[in-house]
Amino acid sequence: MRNDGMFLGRIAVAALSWGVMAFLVVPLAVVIGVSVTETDFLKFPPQGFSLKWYGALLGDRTYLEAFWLSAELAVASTFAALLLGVPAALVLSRRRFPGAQAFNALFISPLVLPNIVIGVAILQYASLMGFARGFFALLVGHIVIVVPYVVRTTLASLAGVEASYEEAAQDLGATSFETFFLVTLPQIKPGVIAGSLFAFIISWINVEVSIFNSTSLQVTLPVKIFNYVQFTVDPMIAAVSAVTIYVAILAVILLDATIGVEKAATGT
Amino acid sequence: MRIGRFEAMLLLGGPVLFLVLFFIAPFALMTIASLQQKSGAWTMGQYAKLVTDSYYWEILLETFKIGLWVAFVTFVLGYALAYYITFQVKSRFLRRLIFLVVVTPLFTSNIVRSFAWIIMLGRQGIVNRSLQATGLISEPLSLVYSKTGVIVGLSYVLLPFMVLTVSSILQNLNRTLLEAARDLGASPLMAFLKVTFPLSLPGVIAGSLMVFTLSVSAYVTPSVMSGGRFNVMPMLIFQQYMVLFDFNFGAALAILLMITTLLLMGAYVMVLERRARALG
Amino acid sequence: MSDDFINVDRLSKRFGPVTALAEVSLSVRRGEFLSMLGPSGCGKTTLLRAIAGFIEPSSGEIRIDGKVMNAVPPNRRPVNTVFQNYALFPHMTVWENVAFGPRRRRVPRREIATQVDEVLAMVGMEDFGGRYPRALSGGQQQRVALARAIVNRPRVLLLDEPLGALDLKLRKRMQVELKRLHERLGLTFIYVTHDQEEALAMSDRIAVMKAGEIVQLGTGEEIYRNPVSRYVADFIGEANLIDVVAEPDGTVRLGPDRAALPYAGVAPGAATLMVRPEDIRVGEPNRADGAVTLRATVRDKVFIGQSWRIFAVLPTGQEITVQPGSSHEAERVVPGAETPLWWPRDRGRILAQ
Repeated sequence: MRNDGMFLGRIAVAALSWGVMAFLVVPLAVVIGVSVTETDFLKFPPQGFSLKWYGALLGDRTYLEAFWLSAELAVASTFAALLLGVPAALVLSRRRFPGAQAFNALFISPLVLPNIVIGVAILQYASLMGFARGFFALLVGHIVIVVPYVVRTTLASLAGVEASYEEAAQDLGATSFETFFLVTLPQIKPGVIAGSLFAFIISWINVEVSIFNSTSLQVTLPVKIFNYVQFTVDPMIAAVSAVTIYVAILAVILLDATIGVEKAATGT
Repeated sequence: MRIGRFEAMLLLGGPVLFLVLFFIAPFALMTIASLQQKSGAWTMGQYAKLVTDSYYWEILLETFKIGLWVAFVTFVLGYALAYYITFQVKSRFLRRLIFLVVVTPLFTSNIVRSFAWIIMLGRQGIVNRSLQATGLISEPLSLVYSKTGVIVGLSYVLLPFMVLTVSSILQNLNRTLLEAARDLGASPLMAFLKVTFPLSLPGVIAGSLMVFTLSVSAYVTPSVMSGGRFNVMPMLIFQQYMVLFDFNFGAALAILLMITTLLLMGAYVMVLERRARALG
Repeated sequence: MSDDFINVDRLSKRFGPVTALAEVSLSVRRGEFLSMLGPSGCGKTTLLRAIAGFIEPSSGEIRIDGKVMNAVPPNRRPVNTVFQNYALFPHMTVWENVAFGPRRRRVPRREIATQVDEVLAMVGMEDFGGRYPRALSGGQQQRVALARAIVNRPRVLLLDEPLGALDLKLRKRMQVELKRLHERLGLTFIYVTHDQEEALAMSDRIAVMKAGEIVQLGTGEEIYRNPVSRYVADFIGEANLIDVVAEPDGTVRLGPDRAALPYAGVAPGAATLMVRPEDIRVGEPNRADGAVTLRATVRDKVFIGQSWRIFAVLPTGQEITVQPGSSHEAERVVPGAETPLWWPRDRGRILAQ
């Protein structure tokens, strides 16, 4: 739409917008920049170029273990979320029954509640049940907060698949099982993959749920960073943080490659 | 696809069972704990303590104030960017790039994002070091460990949500309405003020509610950037559970926070539904 | 062995407060081409889907070849459907689409190839096996959908307005092809449409539906000549629906003080006299008895190629349309003049409201 006569206004909006984008990018760039400095203290722009902090990271077993734990949790909870979320989404979208709305709300609700509240609730429960501060407690918490993402994107995908394809498959003799795997799944694949990506990342970056069941021996990477940052800041922790930023960039690129970042972000 | 009743129960039953065991049950337990003393005796004392001690009301108020500021800042910054993307960026490549820039921070942990501000503005941070190095100041400035710091940090973390919500609304705006306004003699500024902005208002309200809710529920950013100077509600909850080991009072605080959030989300849903109905 | 192949017995379907089917009963004969005809919302698609198994009846029974089908899921009924939007699997080629059914039945691979090739040839799509549905035109997709259904040799083929999306010429051509296919395969076809010309052209019998009920079932000619109600008369072909009055003494008149018309046996009160435009002739009757005569004022006449359409007004003020077969009669008609009209008595029918 042509906004003639509003040239100044357009410039102002554009300038502000680019400023906002810089605002979004610069802090992350600073973290990455600091991570390659030769100095022992934070310096930006970095002095020299050294990967020694990454080396230090690789040499520190506690960081490697934290990285590994976060990765394990992310993979496991994503997998579990798929096993739980996809069938649930399937039933919710393909079968009408009283109370379906309530079940829908149930699956979406962890998204709505404060993560910290979920974290303490699970700690309390796990304490009572005797599995507090173990891997299982961490896993369960992650699954709970991650399932809504899978359910949401799968529901959206399923809504886009015309019911007539599935009916045609059944009409031609396919069981529900065959129908799902041969006809439905190929068509909702992008949505399911996007949901998995969301699930993985949400688990990977989580602090508020992991912190309650982490111990000094069993701590996820974000929680480890959180603990560290309270005491001191140095390029080493910048390197650790930079690694997580690289993972984020990779995930966004993957997301864009599957269903496109715009569609994933705005749902259009 | 016809899913038989038995199949439906099987497919839905597993997930529901999981959530009942590890989501509903913990919350039920927490609710019960909030109504008990440490000994297990039933009491309304936890909530009484909450309601009668003004300290907690002050904290809640502070938490809300911070939330309002964050909503305001993200609204100003976010609306501009959303408007820019929707109405002024024509190149599809550029749009995609901008969305990448907006979404990538969302995929980084909020601790990393908060940490970035500490790197920049903290006591041992870059700004302070360079200022000290040039001799302009002798003592590091406290730029970050304050309420302002928390607001900046939270605004940074939550800005993408505002951008995405508002841009979604703006994109679905009926462009012909704008053309009609211009056709009837409105200047671009008038068209914006009288047509675009009012129509986008539900999106703005929804985005603000979302940012406010997330801000009020945030633990990491305030914890790291308050410098121990003040508390917000989530920090109180953390302290009760992890420092004081008072699971009962902590539960009451958590329930309070949860109810607040649910009410806000309820408002959010209502706003969106009303908009959907208004647009037919 | 009964000739009835499919029995629908007092089938009802309710969606909440809405009744889509109200105690519908229908018997479809082996090998016949039966159409279900009606406007949207009349229940014809609901009935078709109930037979296919996609809708669970609220009450009533469906039997195919004597076996009750109510509890049988769609994938196990001896029925195949051609969907309105074709529903070709977009991620499979034409060949894979058609092979889908046989594969589900674990037919050996070599046989599948033979069957698929044969049926694709039958619909004229033998060169398109490797294409994807999105590369095909509407008519081509339609034929693939047909092939995909018939390759399974179903006892019954259900067709849900399959020609709706095609343009007129293509539609007429496909009607002929479908009819030929029906004769060649000898299957029972149940066809849903809202187009009465289509139904008349293709069907052995037609079930006219309205608001969840079958209002008339019969051959095209039966329904055309002897419609059972105003609704059916108006829906099939064109009809003049003339308001008449049945007197207590048994006579039927245009109005209370008009001459009696040679119809009788109707309950006293308001009634409808139906006569089709093409059955009305202009001038004096050429038969001694059995003719109904009227005088009407011609309002307008329009040339429509094979004949003229004459719009006339009856003495009671009601408008009728006349479309005589011969243009000679029509040519003599003068707009504005009062003209004698007549029709053979048996071409008019008295209908209940």
